[in-house]
Amino acid sequence: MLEWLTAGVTVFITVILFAVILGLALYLSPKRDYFVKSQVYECGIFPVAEISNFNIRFFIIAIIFTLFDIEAVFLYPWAVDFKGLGMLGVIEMFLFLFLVFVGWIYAYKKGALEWQ
Amino acid sequence: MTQIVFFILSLGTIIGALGTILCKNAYYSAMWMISAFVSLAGLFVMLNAPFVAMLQIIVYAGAIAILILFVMMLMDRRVLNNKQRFNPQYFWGIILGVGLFSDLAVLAFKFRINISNAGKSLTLHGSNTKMVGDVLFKHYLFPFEIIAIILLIALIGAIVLTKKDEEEAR
Repeated sequence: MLEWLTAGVTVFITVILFAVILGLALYLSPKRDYFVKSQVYECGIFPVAEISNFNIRFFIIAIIFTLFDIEAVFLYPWAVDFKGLGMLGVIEMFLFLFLVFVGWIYAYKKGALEWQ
Repeated sequence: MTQIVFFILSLGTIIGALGTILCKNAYYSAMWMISAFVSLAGLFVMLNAPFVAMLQIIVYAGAIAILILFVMMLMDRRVLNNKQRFNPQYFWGIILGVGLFSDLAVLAFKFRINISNAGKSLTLHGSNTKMVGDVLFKHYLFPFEIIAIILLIALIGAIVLTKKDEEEAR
């Protein structure tokens, strides 16, 4: 338990630091709120309608990121127990990576990552 | 010392969870959810499960929360900013939540489950990552490869669904 003390102290200091910085910013900053400030910036022109024109491609990239994130998580126990698993572990992991890499190639070929 | 840390972490988790469901603004809810996930990771560390804690941070606080925020950005802002705190079915949610909680509480009380030492028997030098690797790559070899195929299917499904939309629009 004690070896986690460093992590705990780091988290504690981070939380305190951010609370102080954000609190100071909140306290010191002038608050003059008016309607135009909360509007969507549209090149200075008065916005026509409330739109959420958020590109769907961001979502594809987020999904791909999530999947590869989950893939990467499995690398950790493999890397920690690398010597204990031996050659079989290497073959297994490369089979795993290959199977996910097929998906990556599909995404690449399909143009899901392109930004036309 | 351990108890103080536990109370701080569980307080953080509970406040985060309450903030998630009580905030009217969905963006604030997502931020509270991330704080609840991070506190939960601390609790996992206390249970001698640093691998699960790391999973909690990387997958849940990292990827899932980002995905939820992206969904909110894709949605119409007017839908998100309605001033209703609960949707009309909250009664059933309360019943389910209370039922599940009492179920677990009764189980923990009746069988005197002491989870404070649950992870300890499975650890090597205060870490269970090596054990997880050992079990995952030796005993559960086949299910592990199935995970790759499931990830592949999810990836292809996501691309097929989103790309089809674009081609129709063109």
